Amino acid sequence: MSKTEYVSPEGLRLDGRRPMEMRQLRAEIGTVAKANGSAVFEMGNTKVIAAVYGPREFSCWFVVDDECNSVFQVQNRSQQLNDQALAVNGDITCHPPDHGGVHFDSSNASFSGTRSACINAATLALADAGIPMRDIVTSCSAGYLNSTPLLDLNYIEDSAGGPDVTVGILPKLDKVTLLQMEAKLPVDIFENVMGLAVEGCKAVANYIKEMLWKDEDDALLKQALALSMNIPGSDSSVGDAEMSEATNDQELAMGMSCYLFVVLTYLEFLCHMDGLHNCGSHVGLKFYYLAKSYQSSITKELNMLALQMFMLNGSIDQSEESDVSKVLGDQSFMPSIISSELTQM
Amino acid sequence: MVGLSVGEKHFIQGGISQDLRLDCRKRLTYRPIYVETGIIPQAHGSARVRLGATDVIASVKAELGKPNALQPDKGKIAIFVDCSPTAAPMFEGRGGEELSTELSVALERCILGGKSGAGAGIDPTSLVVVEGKVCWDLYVDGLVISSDGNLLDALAAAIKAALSNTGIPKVDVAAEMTGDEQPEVNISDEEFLQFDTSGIPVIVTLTKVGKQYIVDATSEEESQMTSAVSVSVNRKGHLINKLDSEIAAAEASEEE
Amino acid sequence: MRGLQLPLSQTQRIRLQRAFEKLQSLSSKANSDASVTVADTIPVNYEDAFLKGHGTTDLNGELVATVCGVVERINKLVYVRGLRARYKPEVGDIVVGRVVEVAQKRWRLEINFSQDAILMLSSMNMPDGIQRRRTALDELNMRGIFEENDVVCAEVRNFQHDGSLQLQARSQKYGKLEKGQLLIIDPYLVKKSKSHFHHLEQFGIDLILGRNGFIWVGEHVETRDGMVVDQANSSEQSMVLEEKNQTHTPLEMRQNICRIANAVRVLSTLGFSMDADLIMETVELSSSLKIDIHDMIGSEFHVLVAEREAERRSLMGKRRR
Repeated sequence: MSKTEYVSPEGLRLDGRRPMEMRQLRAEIGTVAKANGSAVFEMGNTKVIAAVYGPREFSCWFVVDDECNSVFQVQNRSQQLNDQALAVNGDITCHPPDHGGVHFDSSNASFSGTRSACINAATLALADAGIPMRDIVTSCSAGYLNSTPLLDLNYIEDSAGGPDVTVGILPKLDKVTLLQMEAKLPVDIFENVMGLAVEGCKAVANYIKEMLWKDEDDALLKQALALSMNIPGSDSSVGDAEMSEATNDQELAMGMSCYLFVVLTYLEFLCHMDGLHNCGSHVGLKFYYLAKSYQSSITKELNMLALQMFMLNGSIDQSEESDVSKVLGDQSFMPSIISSELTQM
Repeated sequence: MVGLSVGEKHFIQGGISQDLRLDCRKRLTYRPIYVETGIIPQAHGSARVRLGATDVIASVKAELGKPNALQPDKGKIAIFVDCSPTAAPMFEGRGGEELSTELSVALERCILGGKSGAGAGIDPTSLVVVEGKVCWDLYVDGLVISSDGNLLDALAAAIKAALSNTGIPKVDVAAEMTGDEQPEVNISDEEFLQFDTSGIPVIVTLTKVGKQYIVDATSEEESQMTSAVSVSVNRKGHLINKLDSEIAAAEASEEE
Repeated sequence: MRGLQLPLSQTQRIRLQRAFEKLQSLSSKANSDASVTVADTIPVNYEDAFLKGHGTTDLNGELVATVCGVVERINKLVYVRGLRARYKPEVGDIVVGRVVEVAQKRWRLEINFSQDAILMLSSMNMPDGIQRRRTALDELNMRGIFEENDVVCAEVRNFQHDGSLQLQARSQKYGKLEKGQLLIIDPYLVKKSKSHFHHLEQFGIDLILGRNGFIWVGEHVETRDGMVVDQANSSEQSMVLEEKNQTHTPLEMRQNICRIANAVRVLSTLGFSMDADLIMETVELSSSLKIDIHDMIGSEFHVLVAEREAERRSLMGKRRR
């Protein structure tokens, strides 16, 4: 295949962006009327609809449907998960039996872009549904083409076959929850690219916060209208002393201890938090991801990595960018498989 | 879909027999319809239709392909509907497949006509580029985001709107080719041909509850129906196809 | 917020905007600066002892919100009141629920909460009215009282130690609801008030505002003794059904039910809290303006209601001063 210029000599990409520029973000909250929470998240041309039903009484699952409006129809609704591993660390404090369903639809498959958009849409939908979360999860992808790190790959750049790093972070806690890469990269370049992706995530986080604020303002206005109804004598709105100390402790205990990991592999994976908490509650999650498969051996490794991360309760502290190499060397974070693969380059 | 108690069912039936439905519509009144086109920029055509709480999106993608050996002068059109779990959690996994298949088949029959091609809304011969060698393949996808009854009507409206929004890129064919060689085609990025949608029908579903027929049933009313008739009518007023109650019955059993 | 999904013409949009602005200026603004989103730090004086309530968590020594909402402080309790969460039950709340399961000695009801609520057989009056121990025969006949998908009105009794919710329906005013329709709105729109049961005399209609956001509008039933009658006629059930078939709700009453239901829908779309007086006023507004029932859910009526509400509140405000 002829070498396509993904980055022109002037530094412009195929769609006219600069290498460090993200695509346009657009979000809408509350699209699906029947769901308890829903959101539409657009990153450039990738559009994802997420809907949350719950919490209510049955097992909880995340479902991602990739509705590809292209030649390749994704029919496979059932357990056929492809090789992509998606570790979404949803920190959800929950009451037992907390359960809810989050469902996604994404139109226009743009692989890594879809994943990021899905995660962002999920965050918005969960916030919309009022499900308590310790922090929002945002995600962004970055790649490396024509010797330039590029932020937020679009469909064409993604299909170019170059490396593609998707990162999901908890912005407030400054922790990484998802780290996935396809193809190979030398370690130092990897640091750059990952750092770029993290920057992108932070930008997305700002946008999401803005959306939530705006949405909240509207909702607050409505609530204020509702609350200020002059029903003489009923200041029950203030009197909502919701809990006593007892419930406090109970809820907190459960909250603190319910730390939820969702791991998507090519099998359904039920996540139990038994080893991680003491209250005996558990949330079952199944994560399905349907998209065109992206064959890469490293993703298989990352599957294992993700599982191990889950087991070890390891979400790393992303304190400084340059410490990534330190972290990479850290046994508890990445299995040696990955580092050895990378250093083989 | 939540169930309904005996009292509520009775209430619904009573309302319909008295021409005053739950949301105070008359038997033959539609809910307000909102149509938005061009919502998916990557697709060649797309539309979103909202009918009360029912929300569907349709998108059209055109690809170049080889025509069927038996019908070298016709392009190919495929319609597929997907009931997404965002509409209702029970659609997750295989739950929505039955309904999706029913809807897809019904829509195909309405829009593409019968086996012989009679009564088709789209003329497949208009999709051919080089006879026998190159033709356009149209993939029409419907996605149900939110379901509150009357999916068939909403999907048909969405497909019609999406097709009217579709622009097929203009194709220049290289001058000479011999025999079985694949001709070279140049797909223009600039010029688009508007699709001719005058022949595409509109579907109206009549649901029978008790002894009366209602139009545009909500999912609660659909759970009460005994049968339904869907009629697709094109611009000339010709009745294209009458689909019987299977589809709507499938919807009803899902709701139940 | 879910933007009003109504087709508003330009003038209507402007009018609506103006009405909302007026309302906003009249409403108490104390809360707007205390709003937080997920993972925002809550400003609190760490030296004082304070209690962490719902919607908060302790991260790295800081108090952080876990839901989007408004920070409320009551004495030493600091909590975040979520704006759009599901219903949060309190003891003594009137709720309307739907039976999802008939289990051993209890019914499970869905009440728009994160779990299903339990209505014990012993918390329910027996059809014959006698206070007695529930026998095995009673258990077998549970379906005769409530079966699946029935709409039931009950009161929150308490929370069990394992967190589940228990209801009771001992009084005559609770029980099965028939002959009407159930509307579902956001729970925060229904405020705690003295009475949630409203008997609208001039229409002969019962309006029950469940605090979980389920509103029941239906024909008035004298007392909830219906069950006594049914049980006595259990052998004549079929005849009762046939009678029902013939005696549908009369058209007049149905129209009133529809009008009230639409009024509730309009008010919930606009985000005004539910109050029987407000609903009645809306209904009167619609009938005085001779608006067709179906047009009540059109955009024009929404704008009218918003404007009228702004008027009303500004008048009240003036009267106060």
